[in-house]
Amino acid sequence: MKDLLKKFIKKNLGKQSFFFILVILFLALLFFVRKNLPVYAQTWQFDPIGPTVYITPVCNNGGSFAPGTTSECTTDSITVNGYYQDPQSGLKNISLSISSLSGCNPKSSSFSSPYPTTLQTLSCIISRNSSTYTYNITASATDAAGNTNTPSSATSVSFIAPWYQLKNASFHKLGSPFIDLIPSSPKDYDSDTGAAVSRYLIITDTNYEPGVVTYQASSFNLGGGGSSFSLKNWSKDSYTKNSLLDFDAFLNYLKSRKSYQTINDINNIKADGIYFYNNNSNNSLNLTTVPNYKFLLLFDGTVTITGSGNKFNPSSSIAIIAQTINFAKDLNEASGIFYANQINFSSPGTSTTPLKITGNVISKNSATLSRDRANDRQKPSLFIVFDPQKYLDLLPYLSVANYDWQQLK
Amino acid sequence: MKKINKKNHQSGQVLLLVVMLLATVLTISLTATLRSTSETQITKLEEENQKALAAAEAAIEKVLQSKQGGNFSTIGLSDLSGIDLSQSSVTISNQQGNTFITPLLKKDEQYTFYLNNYPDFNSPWTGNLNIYLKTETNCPALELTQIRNNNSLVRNIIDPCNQITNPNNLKLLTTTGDSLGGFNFAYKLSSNLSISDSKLLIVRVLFSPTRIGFTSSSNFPLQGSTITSTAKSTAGVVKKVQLFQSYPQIPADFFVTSF
Repeated sequence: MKDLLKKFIKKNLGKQSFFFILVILFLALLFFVRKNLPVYAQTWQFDPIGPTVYITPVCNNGGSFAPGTTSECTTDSITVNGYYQDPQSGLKNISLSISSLSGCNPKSSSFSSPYPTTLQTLSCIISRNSSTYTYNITASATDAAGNTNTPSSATSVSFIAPWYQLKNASFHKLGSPFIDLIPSSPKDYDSDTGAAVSRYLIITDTNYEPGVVTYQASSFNLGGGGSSFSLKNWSKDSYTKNSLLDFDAFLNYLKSRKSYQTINDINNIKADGIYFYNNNSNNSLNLTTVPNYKFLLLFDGTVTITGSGNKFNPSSSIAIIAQTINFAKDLNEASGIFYANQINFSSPGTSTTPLKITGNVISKNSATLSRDRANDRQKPSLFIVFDPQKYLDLLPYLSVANYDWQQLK
Repeated sequence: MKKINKKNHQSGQVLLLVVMLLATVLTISLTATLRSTSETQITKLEEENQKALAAAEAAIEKVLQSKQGGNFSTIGLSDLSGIDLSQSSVTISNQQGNTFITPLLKKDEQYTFYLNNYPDFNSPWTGNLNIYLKTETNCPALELTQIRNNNSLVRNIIDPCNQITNPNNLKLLTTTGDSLGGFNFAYKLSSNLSISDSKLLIVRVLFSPTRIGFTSSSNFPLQGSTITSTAKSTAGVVKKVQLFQSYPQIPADFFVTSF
């Protein structure tokens, strides 16, 4: 029998036919492997290239991304589009993830065979909120061959946060954290800004120099990317400022060392001087306009600067010292030196109106910005211009004296 | 007989004892009287001292309000009992010098040093200013704000121990100080500050209490008034008190933007 088989093969199948059978057997084995082994093992040798992934953020509602190291949207929402494609083995999983944002839907998609080889997208909308302004976006895709890819570079998008800027001042920031996110491309508050716009917390006029910035927090965030405190960049962290003279202490000093008048109507101010306002009935005082004199006004309560036509610009230098000073939410200009145990830059509530204060502002306790210049966030929402002339005008009133006693005999 | 002799002998002893007792009592009485007189005199002198000192201080308080010197009667202190009004007076003097030492300034306190006449600011001082620093504890650091006549601001820091972050290395350099106005200063500026066309130099103390000295080769503008009050009691006790009152000082609490 064995001999008969050998004769049959020798007679009917040549060497070429034998090789042909081997090829058939190899293809059958290959088919078997592709059907039964895991995906990554079936196809790696056929699709070694990972999917294409890229992200395109779009600033909505006509806004644009300001140029800079970080994309900054000038309006209120950003659409983030993630694009994925793998023309060879097709996409199996795609995802789009935005840190600090839980409501982005969809975040991911999975596909089954046949795996799509056409362009797929995932989109998320980031709406502006009042606490988070920067979002890091990650995306990834895995193809049917098991290759995973992410965008070639990390993507970060930001809304321009409301921010404040000072001019010609020294500054102490109370509280923690110390955050003032200066945009990548800031704009002048107005034509008064003077010196070239820069990413400084304290800007200066020509021939003016900035002072030291001290802050209570252990660190600061001015938005990074070239922002700094000032041209000189003097600063000190973890600095606890001693408050040597508050409202009560200064009032006691005035009573013992200076002459002042008590009034119950702001129009009773008839000359330069120091005035203690006491209306006996309540502890609030609204100021729209004031008489044209250099004066220091003290009020043991809450002063609200309302202004006339949303401006409070007394013709002469004035200083107001109170327990609390509120700047009305619609007010956009104020002039004077304002000292209080608590300053509120917008009252009541928050404001979308920018505010410029010429003179100085000193709050014994930490104050929040509470203004968001919605119509042009590249400009500061609060701009404080230090004015030395007001101090010179008010020297006899807004001052103390040093005494040095000696008994000679 | 023996009995009579014994009696006589005993009577002499009693007399001696009485005499000695009287002498002792007399000595004690005289001593007490003398001490009492002396204490009365001391008390009276102390009273006179206090009366004269109080009168001298009252006169200074009066002049601080009125800004007018003169004898006690003319400044409105004619009703002081026990004070010789004709021999008591107050003077206000303006003493200029080329050295000025501030009081010890607390951390975050500042001193307003006048570089021009107050209150007109129409006679600017020109000169080279050196600044001395002395602390009692840690290393000092100062922020200087110079308000110029055109109201522009020149700012500097003095920070010998590099406590302020100073990435651009912009600060006034210091060297070892020396004695000035009776104080030994640890640091002074290596080079004088050239001053002209300015109104004020406001020096803010950072980190630790500091005494500051200013010196130059020429007299500074007046920095305040010196009031000298002399009061003489009717008993002849004289007390002399001097007060230096600075020109207005802008408190740092009202000067540094803060919120």
